[in-house]
Amino acid sequence: MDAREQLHVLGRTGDYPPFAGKIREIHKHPLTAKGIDIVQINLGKRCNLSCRHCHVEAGPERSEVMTQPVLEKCLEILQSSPISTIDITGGAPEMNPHLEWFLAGAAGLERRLIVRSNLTLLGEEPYRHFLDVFVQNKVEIVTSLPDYVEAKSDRQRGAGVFRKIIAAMRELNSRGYGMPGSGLVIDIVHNPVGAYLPGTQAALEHEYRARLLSDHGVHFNQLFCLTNLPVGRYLDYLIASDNFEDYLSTLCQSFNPAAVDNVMCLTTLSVGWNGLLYDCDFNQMLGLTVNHGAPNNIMDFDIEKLKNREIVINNHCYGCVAGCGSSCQGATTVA
Amino acid sequence: MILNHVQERRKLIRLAYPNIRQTLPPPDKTRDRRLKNKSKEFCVSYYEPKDLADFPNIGEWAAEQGNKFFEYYGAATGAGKLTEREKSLIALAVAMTQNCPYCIDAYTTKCLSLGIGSEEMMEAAHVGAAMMAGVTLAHTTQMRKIIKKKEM
Repeated sequence: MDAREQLHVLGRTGDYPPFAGKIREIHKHPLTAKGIDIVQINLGKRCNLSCRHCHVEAGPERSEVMTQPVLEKCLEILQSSPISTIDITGGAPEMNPHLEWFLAGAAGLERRLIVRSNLTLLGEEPYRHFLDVFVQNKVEIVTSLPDYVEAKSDRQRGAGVFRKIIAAMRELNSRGYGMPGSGLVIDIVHNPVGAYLPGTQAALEHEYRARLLSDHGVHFNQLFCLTNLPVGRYLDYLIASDNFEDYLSTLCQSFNPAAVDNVMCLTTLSVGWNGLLYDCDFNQMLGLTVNHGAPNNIMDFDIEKLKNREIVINNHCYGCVAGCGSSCQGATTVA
Repeated sequence: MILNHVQERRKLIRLAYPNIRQTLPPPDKTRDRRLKNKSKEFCVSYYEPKDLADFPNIGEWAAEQGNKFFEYYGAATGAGKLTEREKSLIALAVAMTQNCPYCIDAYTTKCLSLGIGSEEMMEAAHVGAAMMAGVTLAHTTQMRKIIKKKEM
């Protein structure tokens, strides 16, 4: 489904008001950025996996990859702006040929540097050297592990993926990742394997920690719970399994006004593989560039115009404010 | 359910009176369909999944008692000495023994959200089933006592 069709489907909120109306009801419209604290850079849609929930619809067949001039511009902006966090995502970032060069440049800026990796490439050539590249650049690794049960996790990400992740985590643990006092951080993202919302982050983290250690001898720092947003392949899944209406209703019913104040778009700027700017990675996949007068291309970056921009919203935004809230850093409110 | 009942009755009549078929009207598929739809309507009008969303409104017309109930409900089902997972499995088992479709829906989803596996949920269901069977059979004590007292 292309972005236009997805937005059309998302318009069907039934008995519930569109997200913009809901925000108006609680007097928070328009939603306005509070600054740019995180720049999330999507290095491209190429990936070795084709996960069933992927909002990016990434896969081996995708050819969209961020080029070096766009990455150079990102570095230039980061150097001259007080942005604390560089968050690299994809696709599989390792499949972008410029990643190693970019990490070296970004590490020199002494900011918080995150790479969202599926880890499965780290056991294969020509990607194994990234195990050491990540250590050298003190990269914080965030990896998706939808469940601590292999069969369940593989239902979402593909056969054999769970074992590869566990193997990579063991190697990273042996280099200090997830171990006390090392300063090397590896966090796990949990997202539901199906049409329901994630449970309490603390309860799930406790269970993950116990099960991964006892069953696989693996350590990690934090668990982040992410709500699956009805975008990309996950939207396809919801429709094909006849869960779309129920799921969207659940998101609308679970609207949490307190989570609105902490949505990630208020402090994040998302950069697409081709340099276009978005309020978040989900807007990126729906083709909703930053708007309301802010420049929408990295080449025209202007922090003054972007830092207090009005956020572009649509009904998928219900996902980030449902229940305890959801962001790339996990729940946004405490249960 | 209604359709099954009609078919069952037909079957019994045929067994008791093998020749009655000649006097019965031929099977009426339209009527069967109508009954089936009626049965669906019956279920839908009483137990609609979307009515689960009305649960927060059960305090309507009795706000004080409603608020007290929710306060108690939250305290009883939230994590304490028992974890949220353990309490959710207990609630799921109770929901099934009490045949409450709303609670089954809510607690199956909650168990999924908490990462509880289908095997664990099925084990909880069997605890509920075993308890129901045990409760039924334990009450045969009363039945057996009365039989023994009243029979010569």
